[in-house]
Amino acid sequence: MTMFLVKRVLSSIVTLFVIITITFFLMHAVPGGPFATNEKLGQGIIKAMEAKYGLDKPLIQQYWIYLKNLAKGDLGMSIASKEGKTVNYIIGQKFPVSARLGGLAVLLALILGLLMGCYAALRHEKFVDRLVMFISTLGIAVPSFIMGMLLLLLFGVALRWLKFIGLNSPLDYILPTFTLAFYPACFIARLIRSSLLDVLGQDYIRTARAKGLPASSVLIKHAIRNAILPVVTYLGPLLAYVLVGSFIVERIFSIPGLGLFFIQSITSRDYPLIMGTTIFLAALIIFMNLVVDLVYVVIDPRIKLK
Amino acid sequence: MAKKPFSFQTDPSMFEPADPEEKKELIIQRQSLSFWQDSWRRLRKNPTAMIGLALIILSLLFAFIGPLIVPYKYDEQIRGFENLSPMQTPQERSAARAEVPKPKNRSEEFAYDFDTSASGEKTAPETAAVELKEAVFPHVLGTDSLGRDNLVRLMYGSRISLLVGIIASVIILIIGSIYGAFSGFIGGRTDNVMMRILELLYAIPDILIVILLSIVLKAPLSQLFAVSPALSKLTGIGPGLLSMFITFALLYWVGMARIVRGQVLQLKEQEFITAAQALGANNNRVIFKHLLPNCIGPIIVTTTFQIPNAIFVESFLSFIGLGISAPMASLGSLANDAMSGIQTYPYMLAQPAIMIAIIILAFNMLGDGLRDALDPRMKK
Amino acid sequence: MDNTAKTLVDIKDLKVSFFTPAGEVKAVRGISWSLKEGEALGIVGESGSGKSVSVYALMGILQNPGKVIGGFITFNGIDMLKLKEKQWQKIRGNDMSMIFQDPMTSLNPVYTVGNQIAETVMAHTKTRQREANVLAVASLAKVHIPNPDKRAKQYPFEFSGGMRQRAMISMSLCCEPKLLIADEPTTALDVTIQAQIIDLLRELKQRTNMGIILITHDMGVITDICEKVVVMYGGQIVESAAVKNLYKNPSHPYTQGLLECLPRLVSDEEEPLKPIEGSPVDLLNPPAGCPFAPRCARCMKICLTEQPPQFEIETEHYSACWLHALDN
Repeated sequence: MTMFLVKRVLSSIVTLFVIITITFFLMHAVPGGPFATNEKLGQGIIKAMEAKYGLDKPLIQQYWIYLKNLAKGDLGMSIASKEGKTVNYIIGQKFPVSARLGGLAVLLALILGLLMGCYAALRHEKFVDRLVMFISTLGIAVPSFIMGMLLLLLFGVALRWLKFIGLNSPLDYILPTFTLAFYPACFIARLIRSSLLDVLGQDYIRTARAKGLPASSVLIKHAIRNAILPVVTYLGPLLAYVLVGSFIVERIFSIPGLGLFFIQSITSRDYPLIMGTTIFLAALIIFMNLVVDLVYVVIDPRIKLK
Repeated sequence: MAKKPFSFQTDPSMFEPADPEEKKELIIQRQSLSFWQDSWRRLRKNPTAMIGLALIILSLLFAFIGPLIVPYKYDEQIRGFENLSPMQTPQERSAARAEVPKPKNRSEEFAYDFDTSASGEKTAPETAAVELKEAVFPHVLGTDSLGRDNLVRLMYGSRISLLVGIIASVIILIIGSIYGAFSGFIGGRTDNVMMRILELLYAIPDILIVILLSIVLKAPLSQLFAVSPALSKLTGIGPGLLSMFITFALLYWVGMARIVRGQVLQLKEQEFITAAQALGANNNRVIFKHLLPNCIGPIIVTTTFQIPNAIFVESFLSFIGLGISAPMASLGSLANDAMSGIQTYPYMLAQPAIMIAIIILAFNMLGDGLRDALDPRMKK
Repeated sequence: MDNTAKTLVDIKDLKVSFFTPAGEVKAVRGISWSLKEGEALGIVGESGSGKSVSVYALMGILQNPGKVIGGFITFNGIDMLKLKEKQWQKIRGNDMSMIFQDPMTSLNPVYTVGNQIAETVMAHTKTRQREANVLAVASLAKVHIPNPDKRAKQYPFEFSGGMRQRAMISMSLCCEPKLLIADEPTTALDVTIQAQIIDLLRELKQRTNMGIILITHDMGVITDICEKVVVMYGGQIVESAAVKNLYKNPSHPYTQGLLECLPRLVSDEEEPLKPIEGSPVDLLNPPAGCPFAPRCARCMKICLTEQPPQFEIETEHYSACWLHALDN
């Protein structure tokens, strides 16, 4: 158990380190540097700017400085922002908006997915099951940004029921949250449906019935408890999905979150910001995967021995 | 227990021994089918999979044969035909405009100006040629802000998306299955190291790296393409696409490698592999002749699911402004272009959005069917 | 055998079918048998003969799409097929309980063994968790599991196969049932462990007055425990008798085949084992005549077209074979 913990934490650190390294060298491999595109600046100014951001030093030295700053939690300065804001400040400003949306979406996806999946499994091969399978196949196949666009076209443009720009009132959360949650909800529904069907066919469910337990107890205590395990492993990828999905959803619905800002920083070639955001999001995903693995150990006693 | 005395009258001949022939009739013979016949039979019985297959064939026809039928080119800008709604002609729009004198927004005003001033400048034969085409083939899905035919752009967009999906999946298939097969077959320490590398790649949030790679690769590749135009003629793809293929080749084969490795680990314990080795087959022969062909079911299924995934990643990148470069279009970049005019021209967003949905849905439907048909564990 | 004992189970003309997409699979096609208190009945037959399905029907745990489509089941004087699910729950695990073939998969992997036994106790009696836990430990001790205190707190994967089957048995006995159904309880176990489990079952039978139904395809196990035996083939009973009569005078060609399959330790010469040729019945389209006819070496014309009735060979010994018609 402790071995597992130590191994798992170490491998997370290694992964993060690899990502930091890849990100750093990739960003510095771009020819021309961040100021090259701005033709209005003279050579002298470019030199001065590069000196200011430490871009004139040898690459390895820059890498070392970046790592040292990173260890202190400093992600550097944003180049594109006029007032010279730090990347930390920008993430601090923009991330809560994305996090609130993402959190809501995860919650909605879990509730919707579990309800749909369990209901379908219990009505196996009946109408409800077929309906859920139809909706979830559709939901898995149609990418979230297409879903978002279609929802936007329907409710925002055609019906004019909901506004589709910004997040100013609680109602504004409906479309983006649903857009973001729809795919994972469908995925969870399929996951729990197939795993519940599998579990319901297991011998220990027959044992539970043979013991004379009430149907509700058989279902909740014996079936769902086991069937939910795959859903827990999906929580890590779910979070990564929501983060990436937020790029698109924020672009579609003009939500001033980290995702929208990230996309804008790609076009403005704000390399420290791109790097900082990438590393921040990667660290978040890796950390959540670690948490999910630990939760899994707690709920599945069989893992402990390994 | 009911005891039935033998009281009814029966023909004594009934108590003669039965022929083996007569007995044989009672033994049910199941038809024996080859693996592929059996799989195809099961696939054909699955309506969802068949609808998926039909949609894929239709999309392929639409994307590759369609542009031969429509008389416009994807980069052909026809002046005076900007921002037409589906089936509309400029004349009709002028008439409609006259009733509603005030244009809705600036871009349309701009288009309106073009409409009256620019068409006058055209030489008579040019206009006549355009009108002739127009008479034969109207702009079924309208035109975009540069006067390009939406239908033909949608066809080209689908072509790019399908090509990306298929080529990327083939790249993934080759790299992934070879890596997985060698890792699983060699085993031991090599397998361990190869799997560690794989786990590391797996833990990296892929889309972030894909975005970074696209940014990084775009500039040098553009230069490369600028230096040698022959390259782009030869390959028929732009720098955006090439960078996308490189990212796929670098990152997305992990899933395939895992599946193939798992299969190989199972298979290599079986007798026919030992037999092949005993008969003196070398490792390469065992892997390519004996192991990989036996993993073909899972490989096909994974590839079928990889295609929509690649299409999704491509349209995602194009949608956030990376990926394909203008004037070529993919479904993602078409959707991205349409976002700015969503209020006035919602249909321009709906067209690529629905097309992506159809293609991805079709591959997923076929993939589900193939998995059921090819996976022997699902056999009843 | 005590002839005055009360009848515990009475099954009459039971028919069970599975309604699959391919059609109606007639798994059990009209079987009848009965069991008295304190008596043990063996049901023998190959896979797919309907032996497990018939007792699932008795327990009321047939899985969809399986349904009882005809006949009567009387248990302890109650007409079981008229019961509602809630009433049936009160009997299952309490008055009749069951152990299954594969102890590896029959226990829920995410709960401790003690928890799963205590759960059964609490479902049928008004006990609190703590008392139920004590009962669970006592019940583990009854099936000779060493260190029951410690064992009760362990998960099934920490048990060996034989220990798990003991835990399963203790779980089925914790409410002191009138009837224990054992569905191939030894098939998945090692031979030495099999013997231990059989010994345990025999001991339990002597200690309590419970009726036992033992399902197996192993004729040897039957002789160890049972007084009566029913041989099933293709969803029907082909022969039923007291165990000693069946061995002395096997009358149905299938039973004879089964007994010839058993390797004999003491034999006059080096004779090879005799397998029964052919493959089992297709229950989707069951044959019009005797189900065993296509594989029977002594098959007659009538066997292919007419179902044989049950012929009485001696007292309480019936065989469903047309050959007996020739004896008359």
